[in-house]
Amino acid sequence: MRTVDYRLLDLGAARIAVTSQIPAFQAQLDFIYGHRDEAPVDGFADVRVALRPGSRWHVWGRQVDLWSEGLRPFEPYPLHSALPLFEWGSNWLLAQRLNAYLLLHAGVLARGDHALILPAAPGSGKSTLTCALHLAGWRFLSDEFGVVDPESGHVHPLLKPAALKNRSIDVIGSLPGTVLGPIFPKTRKGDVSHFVPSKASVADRHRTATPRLVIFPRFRDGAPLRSTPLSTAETAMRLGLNSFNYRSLGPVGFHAVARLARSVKACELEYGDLGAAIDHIEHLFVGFA
Amino acid sequence: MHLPHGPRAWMEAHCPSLDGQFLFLDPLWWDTHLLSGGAVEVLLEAAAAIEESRFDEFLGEIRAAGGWPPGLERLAHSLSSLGGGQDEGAV
Repeated sequence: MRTVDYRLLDLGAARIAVTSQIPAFQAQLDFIYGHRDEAPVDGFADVRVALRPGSRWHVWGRQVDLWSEGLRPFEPYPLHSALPLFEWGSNWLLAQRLNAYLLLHAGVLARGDHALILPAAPGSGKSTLTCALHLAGWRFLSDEFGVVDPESGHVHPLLKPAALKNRSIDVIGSLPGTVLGPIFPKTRKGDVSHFVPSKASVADRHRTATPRLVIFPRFRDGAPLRSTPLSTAETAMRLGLNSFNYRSLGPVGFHAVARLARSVKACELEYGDLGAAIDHIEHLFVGFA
Repeated sequence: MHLPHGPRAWMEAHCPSLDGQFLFLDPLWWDTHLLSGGAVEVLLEAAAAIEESRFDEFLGEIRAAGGWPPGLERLAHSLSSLGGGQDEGAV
């Protein structure tokens, strides 16, 4: 019997099985998911996907499809953009599946076992700030998912590369220590490149952290730094709004959000200068780590 | 997870005070509302009326008093979906 040769990526809070016969995609996957021992290929996966090339004779050029459990949930991408399709597609699938956790749309970092959560809407500069903090010495837990255990209140790492877009690629690319994958120009979200977290953070992908500080960041070009403390109730409401599955979880999500809001300091941070934002966050975190 | 039974028990479990404001989880739609202390008092009165099988009277009292504060009518009707107290849902 012929079997499909899946590769199992252990992200910490979840595992993804992926298969593809596209050599360039495999090489890119090797690069941005480096630093980790492969999990056993026959093990459990939360999400299972196949990236399959389309016909050579497609009118728009050769394309790639993402299949998951017999379904093709997205429109095809150009063949050379298999990696962005895999990253966005697997994020979407994870957001549908991981309902044992409260899933925030957030970057998460830690000093030791004390976590900083950065929930934000798309376009707020979350990924840029998350990567810059990581390069400044913070442990990287996630750029996309704040994975909160409703029972313990701890956050779990979900260690995928961060998808940097447009100007963020140059901003983060210019910082020492940055490791970026290839640039994919003119995707549906603009130019995209994937930031690779450090080997140490990958090794700690099963190490949970206790939330201490929640910052809702908002980058605005040229804006002076403005940090506004938030009440516990306002923090809870905003956490719910920045969650993938808050409403689906009902009372479980409600109590998880209320508990999280009660246990942290929280503020909204508008900034126009990345260095100033990092200095301010370090200042706010003094005493926790 | 054990879900509390009845409107008053729901209010107790799903309307916590956070720094003087209240979060309320709608038991029917599972959306969350930020409420003042005054709004919570109205919902507690509605919950009591539902459990004492006098919700219709309570609605009449609200009408007579000039109508519902903004947004609360839907929440009170959601509470009424939890039934009228300890006898409801008994098998």
